[in-house]
Amino acid sequence: MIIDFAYIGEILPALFGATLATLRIAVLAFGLSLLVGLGFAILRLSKRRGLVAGIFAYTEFIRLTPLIVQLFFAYYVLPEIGIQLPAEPTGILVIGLHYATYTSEVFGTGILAVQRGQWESAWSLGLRGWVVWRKIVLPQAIRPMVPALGNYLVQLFKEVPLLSTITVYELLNTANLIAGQSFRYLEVMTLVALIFFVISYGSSLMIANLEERERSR
Amino acid sequence: MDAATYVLPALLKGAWISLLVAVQAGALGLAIAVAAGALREMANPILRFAIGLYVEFFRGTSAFIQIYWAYFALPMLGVRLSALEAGTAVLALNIGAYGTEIVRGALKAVPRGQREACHALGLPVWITYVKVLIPQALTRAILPFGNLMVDLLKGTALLSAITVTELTFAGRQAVSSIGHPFLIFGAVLVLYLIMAAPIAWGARAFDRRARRWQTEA
Repeated sequence: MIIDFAYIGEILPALFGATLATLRIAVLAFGLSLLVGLGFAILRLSKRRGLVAGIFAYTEFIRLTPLIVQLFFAYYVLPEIGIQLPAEPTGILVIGLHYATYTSEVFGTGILAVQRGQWESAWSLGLRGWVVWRKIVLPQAIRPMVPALGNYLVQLFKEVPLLSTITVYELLNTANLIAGQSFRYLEVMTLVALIFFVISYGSSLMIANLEERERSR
Repeated sequence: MDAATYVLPALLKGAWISLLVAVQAGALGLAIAVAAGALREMANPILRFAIGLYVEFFRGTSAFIQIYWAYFALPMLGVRLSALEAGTAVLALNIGAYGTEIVRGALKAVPRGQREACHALGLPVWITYVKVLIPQALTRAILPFGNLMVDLLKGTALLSAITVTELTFAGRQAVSSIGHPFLIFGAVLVLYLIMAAPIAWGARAFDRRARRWQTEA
């Protein structure tokens, strides 16, 4: 088997474009998971039993079943109940809601790590409700959480290829299309694996670095 | 009800295949993890580097990409595996890579004093490992290994993309022939939950008990 470098040069632009699409999907899904996860974390700290139990049940169900089946479920069932959503937003929604169960745990731990005195001082200064969250608690809570959240972003990025099963043209699906025409699966699939490896290994090195700095603060 | 009598046996048969794949890949993966984890702790630098490369490569690309690679690219190097073989091998190597890190972490978490005490008592190295360090490391490894086994079970769903007739594939086939995505994918999700929950909850219960008598550093 001789590896054809000219061919690799030919397909690189297309794979590069698909890599950008994959990154875009990952970032959007991660943004959604941060929003929903933070919401879950704050609601869980409230003492409403029904709400807390509901979030717990949701978390268990999402984590104990495969993401790929959740994707199929959403992709086929949403149109049946009248929600017409293209494949890509459907995928972003499902991945975002899946990873919210992980980010909410990070947020929960981070929020609890803020010292009680911070709340009490804020209250005694006459600050109330959302202002205390936004100005006092969250700014202190978020910084130490960045490495843990970053690791989830890397993990999420590696799951974007699952969207190929619901017809989204991210990196894997694009690669499949290219390889199907030329039948050069070895070159194409190896490139895809390398692209994923470089991005996720590079990011985890950066995160480890960040963690080290956070610890020595 | 006609549909249910036709679909349910197909799903159960699929679930059985998912379980078989998980058990086979799990057993193989655990063996790799224990061997690589222990070797990484003691052996020579070259071997340690090779194990590190293996671990980082498998963790840096996703199982889904690796499955595609093994099924579509590997044959071009002359290695032809059936879909079932390729999928099982990839899952096992993944479990091995993540498991290696768990074994290493668990061994490291056993307090140094335990090792020093064994040395002071003049115990041979293998007794130190077999009777003192490994049993204590195991109690710390059960929870992460339980989580890993849940990931493995969910990971078997990825094999549906390369036509292995496991649970997810059976569900997709049923939906494409008779529709009813809500009921069928719902049933698929519940079946995964039924298989995964005992593993996850069992590991958590074990961990809670083990914590009571773990020695702290």
